Amino acid sequence: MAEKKERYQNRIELLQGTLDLLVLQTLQWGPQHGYGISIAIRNHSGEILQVHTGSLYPALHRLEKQKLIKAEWKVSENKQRAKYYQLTAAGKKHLSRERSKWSQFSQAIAGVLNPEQT
Amino acid sequence: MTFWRRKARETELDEEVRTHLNMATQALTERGVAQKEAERAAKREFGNVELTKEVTRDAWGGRWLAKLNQRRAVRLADVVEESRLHRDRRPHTGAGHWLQHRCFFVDRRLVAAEPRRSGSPGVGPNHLRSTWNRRATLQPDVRPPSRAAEGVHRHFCLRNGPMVLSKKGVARPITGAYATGSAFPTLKLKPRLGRLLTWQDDEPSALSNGVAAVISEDFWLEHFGGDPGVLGQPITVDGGTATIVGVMPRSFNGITVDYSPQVVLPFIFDVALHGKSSCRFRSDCTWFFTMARLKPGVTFAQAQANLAAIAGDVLKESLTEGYQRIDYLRNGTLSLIPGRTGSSPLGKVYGRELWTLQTLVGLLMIICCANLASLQLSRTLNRQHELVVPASCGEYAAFR
Repeated sequence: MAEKKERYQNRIELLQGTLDLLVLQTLQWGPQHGYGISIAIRNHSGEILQVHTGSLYPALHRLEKQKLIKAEWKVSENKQRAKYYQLTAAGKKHLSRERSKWSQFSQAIAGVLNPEQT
Repeated sequence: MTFWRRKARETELDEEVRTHLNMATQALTERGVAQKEAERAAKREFGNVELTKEVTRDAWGGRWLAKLNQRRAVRLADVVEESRLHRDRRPHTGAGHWLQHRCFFVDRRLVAAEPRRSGSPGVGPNHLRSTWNRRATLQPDVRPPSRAAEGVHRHFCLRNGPMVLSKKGVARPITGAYATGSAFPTLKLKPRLGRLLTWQDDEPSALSNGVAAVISEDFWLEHFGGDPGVLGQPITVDGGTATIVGVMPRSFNGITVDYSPQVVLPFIFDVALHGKSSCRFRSDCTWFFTMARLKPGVTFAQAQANLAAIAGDVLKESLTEGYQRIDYLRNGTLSLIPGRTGSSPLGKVYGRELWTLQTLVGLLMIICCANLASLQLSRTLNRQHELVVPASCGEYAAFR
């Protein structure tokens, strides 16, 4: 119980807007369905980032509406029909811009936190 | 476009969520977790499915249009239903009014004139309310009625209230309502599937046979996928179990604007759940809505006058000693409200403001129309002047 509580407290909440970036980045590795995206984010973050489905699916549908990603129904490796998302050309450009912004942002934060290193 | 594709998107979203849950379940079973436990864990990890869908729908945009359309559908359904009821009633009464009393408990004295079905001990509607938003206590079934309402018949009572649906160990809030057995026969509704609640469903004997429940069409589609086999299935609400006997027609959205009950249960279900503390016996339970039809040949004004005449006696006989000391209750009256559009608490609260707003909008429209008309008139006059000038110069034919 205590472990569960601690895990909950240690859970890192995603910063507003970073979810889109993570989703786009995940899709750059190839088309993926919603479940696959959440697993990929979790695995690549060393089990630290857990995307809530309550945020993931609205984000996917929002990105699809913005034409940054497109969806297609395919049969998964487990023989299940699944909705696969993939990056569009606009999505790739957007990802590139967002990565650059994130890089600047993280450098800025690092500069504030470690002024002696900058 | 977003709006028109909404139905298809809804289906896709359902399938997408289902796929997610299946994949999560499969991943867990591959790790050696038992199927049932894996399903539970997947659902737990996913969180609130309905909430996820709701937020996702917001991401589609055009939500206001969908809601507007939904609202329009409800309103149209109301109108259709009302028209039907009105037609049904016309040969009997000739008056286009429903009767609605609110607020108080008044006991079955007012419905003593109601003809009871043979074999029925008479557990029909026994509550009517006055027009105040005050609470009062009236003991049901204390003494025989001294005077009965002569202008109305076929009453029913309905109480809206949130309920908790328990399904496969998951509890979720739903909109529910308790109704007397006379509700659906009085409304003359036809079931979408199975049957609707009857007098027999609200009798004490129903407790031993299993309490009946009816569900809305949306609820049926959402929880049972529109399966006709839903009839006879148990449904656990507020900790008690009832048996689904029918699906309400889509045209019925309850009797209160903005509150569409997903599950309607007979009042006897409340008795089964709470025993002596049931609203059936408790004096502090208010907010029952009572509706009735006018008796054949009785006008709205006559029925109103009749109720006003007997109100004093009814209240005097019904109020307990404590409440008889309260002036506004002791000197209260009962009044009729046309119920063809149902009850609208918001309309009552904001009615004046809305009327003011509507008047202002109307005035603004008149000003706009007057401005446009004067503009058009001045243009026409100018044009007429332009026509006159060439005509006077002998060029009118050429101008044409």
